[in-house]
Amino acid sequence: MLMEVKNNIRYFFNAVKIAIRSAMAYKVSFLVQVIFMIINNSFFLIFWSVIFSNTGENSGITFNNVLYLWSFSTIAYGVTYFFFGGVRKINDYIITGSLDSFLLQPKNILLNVLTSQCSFSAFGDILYGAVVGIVATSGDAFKIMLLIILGIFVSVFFISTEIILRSLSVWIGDTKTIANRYIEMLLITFSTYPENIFKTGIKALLYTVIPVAYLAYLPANIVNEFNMYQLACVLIVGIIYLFLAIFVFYKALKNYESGNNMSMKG
Amino acid sequence: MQICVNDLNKVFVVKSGGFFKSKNKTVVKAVENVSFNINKGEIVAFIGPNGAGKSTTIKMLTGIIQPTSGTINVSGLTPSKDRKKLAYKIGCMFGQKSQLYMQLTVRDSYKLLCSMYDLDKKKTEEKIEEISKLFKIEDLLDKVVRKLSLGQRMICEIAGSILHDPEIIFLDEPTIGLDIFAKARIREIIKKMNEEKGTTIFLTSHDIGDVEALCSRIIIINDGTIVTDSTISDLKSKYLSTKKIKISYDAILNTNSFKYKVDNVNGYMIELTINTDKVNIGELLSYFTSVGNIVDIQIEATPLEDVIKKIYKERRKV
Repeated sequence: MLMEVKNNIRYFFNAVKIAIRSAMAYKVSFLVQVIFMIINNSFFLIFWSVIFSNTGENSGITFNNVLYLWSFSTIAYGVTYFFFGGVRKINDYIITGSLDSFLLQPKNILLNVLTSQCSFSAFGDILYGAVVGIVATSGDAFKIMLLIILGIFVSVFFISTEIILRSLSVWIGDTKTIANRYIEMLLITFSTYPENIFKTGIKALLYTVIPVAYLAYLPANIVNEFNMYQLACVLIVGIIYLFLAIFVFYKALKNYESGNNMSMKG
Repeated sequence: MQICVNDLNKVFVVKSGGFFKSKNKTVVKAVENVSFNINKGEIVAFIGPNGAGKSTTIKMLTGIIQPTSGTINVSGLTPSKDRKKLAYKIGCMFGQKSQLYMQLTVRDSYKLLCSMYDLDKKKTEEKIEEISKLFKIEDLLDKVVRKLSLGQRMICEIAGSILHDPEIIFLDEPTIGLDIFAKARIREIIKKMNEEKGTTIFLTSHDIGDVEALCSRIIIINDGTIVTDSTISDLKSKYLSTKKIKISYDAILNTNSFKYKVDNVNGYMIELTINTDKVNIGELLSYFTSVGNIVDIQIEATPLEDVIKKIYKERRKV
């Protein structure tokens, strides 16, 4: 068991190392993608700083809070698509029967699928999220530690949500559009606006149906003002989502019926 | 026995009906009571028309999908339960699906595959060198997979599938879409793997040339059931009772009064088709020797492709 975990970890690092090396083969393209992603994200913060300079910080909506929101949402997005970019292909692998290739290999199939692709521009998101987060903490070591721990858990939450949505393809057909809309238009969009601008009804949705609260709002609050209860909430929800994702994926695998479409990895 | 299959069945439930209508469920039997055994070191062709159940059977043998009923034993393991353990013992190459990574070089793809099979750095380097020499692909190692030609990719795919020294290789359409040179190369490689490493090979192909060039045994599946399981030579002798004979004489003969029916007269050459079950070959040759001076004679057996077509058709009639 321990050996298997060790071998899986070794495989994961090999996959990441090779993905980075293959990105480096196209250095200019890689750097352009990373830089543009950083510029793209920075525009939003420039808008926020303009708004705050005109209206001032009120109703608990501070520029620091916005920085944390952006930090967590971009870290989750970046970690997911840079290290586990294959998550976005799960629906495709199911529909085309490409999961066959993964089932023929002796590694943990979920890990194997997740590491099968790498989005290079997502590295820009990780960099951006880390820098913005560290700037917001003003170098406070405890806050940086919280940023790292929560960064891991929000990433787990984000990856798990993707796994669940994409795996549903086994039962309801290709979920690509549903997953893309849910992740990008709901989860990501809402996670970059402060919680306090929303009214109670929408807020309730953001803690349940579109649980952005565990991706950005609560983590941002915790780093701003440490709260043990909120921290426990984020950690527990992250773990529950991870187990749920593993359960749904393997349940989908049992119902997977393969296919004979032509396909290639990567 | 390296592969042992008993009473294997696979049923798919197909749902049909509109969004607002209740869905009808249709049961499709993809594989029905299939049984066969394969010994270590055998090269077996598993063939059949499209939709016959070949790929479904291979997928069950390799643990990709679970059988509805029946038992499978591959190298002492049950594929549906021991998928990971089995993966170390088998190699697979599905012509329609790639196990290499499109955006990586062949070498990096191999490295990743080696780490998947827990080979350390030194062993990985050794293995890549050994395989690239065996397959003569040294010059392809540093090319990006997506830039390879189809033939080059297929060879690299097969090489990739044996990096971990599997006991059995499943090849599903290994020569699909290839030109005659690439086909010949792949056949030569498969033969070499079998001879040098004693690897058992389970092959499906629509190309009868693959079957004739490589296999000693053939299993034919149609409509989910096995219709023939025999050696190639048995199959030929069973179905090759029809022979085409071409006889060339030193002069043009009048064939109207011939004892045997002639299909075609082409100058000095006559052509006829006979059934060896009904006609005595000795008598026939004596007769044609007596009617003129023979300068050349050709007796052709029915191509294996025609034999297989005949078997497919017979099954359809049933």
